[in-house]
Amino acid sequence: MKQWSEILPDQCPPDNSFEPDGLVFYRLCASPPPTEEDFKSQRANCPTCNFNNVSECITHSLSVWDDIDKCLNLLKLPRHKGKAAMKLELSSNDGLVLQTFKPNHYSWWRTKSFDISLVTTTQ
Amino acid sequence: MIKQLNISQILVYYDFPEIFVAVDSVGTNYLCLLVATDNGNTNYITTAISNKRLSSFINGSTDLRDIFEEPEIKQWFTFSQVIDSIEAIEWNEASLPQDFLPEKGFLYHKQLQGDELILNEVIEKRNAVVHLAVSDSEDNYSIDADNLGDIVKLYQVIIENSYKKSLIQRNIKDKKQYYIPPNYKLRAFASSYSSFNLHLYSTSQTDLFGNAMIEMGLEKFDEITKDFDNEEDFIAALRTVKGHTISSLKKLVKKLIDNNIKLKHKWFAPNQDKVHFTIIDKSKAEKIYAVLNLAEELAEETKTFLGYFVQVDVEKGTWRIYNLEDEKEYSGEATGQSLQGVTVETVNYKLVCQEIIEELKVTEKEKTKYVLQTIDKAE
Repeated sequence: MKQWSEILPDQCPPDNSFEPDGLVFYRLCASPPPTEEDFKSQRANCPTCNFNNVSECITHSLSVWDDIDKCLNLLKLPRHKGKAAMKLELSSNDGLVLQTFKPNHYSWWRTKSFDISLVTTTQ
Repeated sequence: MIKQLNISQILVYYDFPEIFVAVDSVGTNYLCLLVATDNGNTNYITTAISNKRLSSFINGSTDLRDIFEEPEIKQWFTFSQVIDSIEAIEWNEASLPQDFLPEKGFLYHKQLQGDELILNEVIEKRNAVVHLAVSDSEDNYSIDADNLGDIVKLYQVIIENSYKKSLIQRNIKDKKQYYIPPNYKLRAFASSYSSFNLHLYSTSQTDLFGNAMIEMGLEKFDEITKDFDNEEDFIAALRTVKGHTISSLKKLVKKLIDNNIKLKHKWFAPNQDKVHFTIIDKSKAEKIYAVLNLAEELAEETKTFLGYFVQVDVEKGTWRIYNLEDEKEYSGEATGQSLQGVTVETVNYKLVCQEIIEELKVTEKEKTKYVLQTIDKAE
């Protein structure tokens, strides 16, 4: 039984999400070393935000990329200037992932057992 | 000044929609950019953008910073709430602060050179677009009308059946709502040179990220017409769509072989970051045809009925059954004595039949024939 890092809605994560089991993903952090703040979902950051076509389940996930260039491209956007990129080698215990929305983009539902101290920053 | 906008397509998502396209009440596009998420709020800026410039941005030719630093109309709006519609308030300064501007060098895609036409069409149609180019040995820029008609019809049948097979295999809830013709039917709207190039667009259901349902059929078409070295792997790909898709594919490649026709298949959809392109020339068609002949069983489609007989003629070998699942009647044929002793109307049977679609002619409707394979009393 996975212990999720936040309370998830019913039937979340979706049935077709899967354990990452060694897959490598990339995500941004405000500055190295990463902290818990860098792993907050949309719902944790913005309890009242509501976008059509973005399900409540997805708002409780974290965006990660399996392509470093696509992740680094985000650093040019106003919200992400000056941030750093993290490399995440996710194990089965770290949660469930699902490819969503666009090529190379995944939604990650994180478990409490994910160890932030093991994360490396790449840029 | 307040501008009412509605989200049309999300281009970049990272925990939040970072960049998206919205439209106003007269159809003008606005490019929206998330600049901050503070204290439980989002803060976006937006500016009007022409189809041409939007296409250039999506194509990877225009820098995001240029769009906001030098907008076509020197007017910006800002908003924080994105619910059903957006109320954007005019930004009353001469320029945007540096904090609101992206750094130089943000390109949406790696540049899609040479594919501007299909990309513009996708933006205009807000859906998937296909270019189906055909040429024969006589002329690179024209095609026999009969052959064109047959090829387009066969292509459409393959897309329809590939889509339905892919949908069955996907883990999607409430699938019934997606079995609708707009999700697999294409409409022709233009043609161009570069062989006889027919332009088709889809009216498929799409989500805000630009994912169009018809892509399942288009991807499958590419998969079953790809170059292959390993025959076993290719047969495995064909098995995922066995049945009508394969029988239509066989007819299509035979048509290409017999008439020495080259078929170019190009497609793009709003969510894609590359234009998909495959060519089937005579030699590739022969290679595919040989594999299809090796595995004849791939073309067989079976259909199971559960219900009671409405009519049976043992001598003629014909039957009609009321199928309980969809509450429709179906008729078919049987060989030998398989109908001997069946009870009409009061007993339910399970029938496994071979489903055969009668030889295709462009101007006629298809006829589906069911040939009884096995019959058992239902429990």
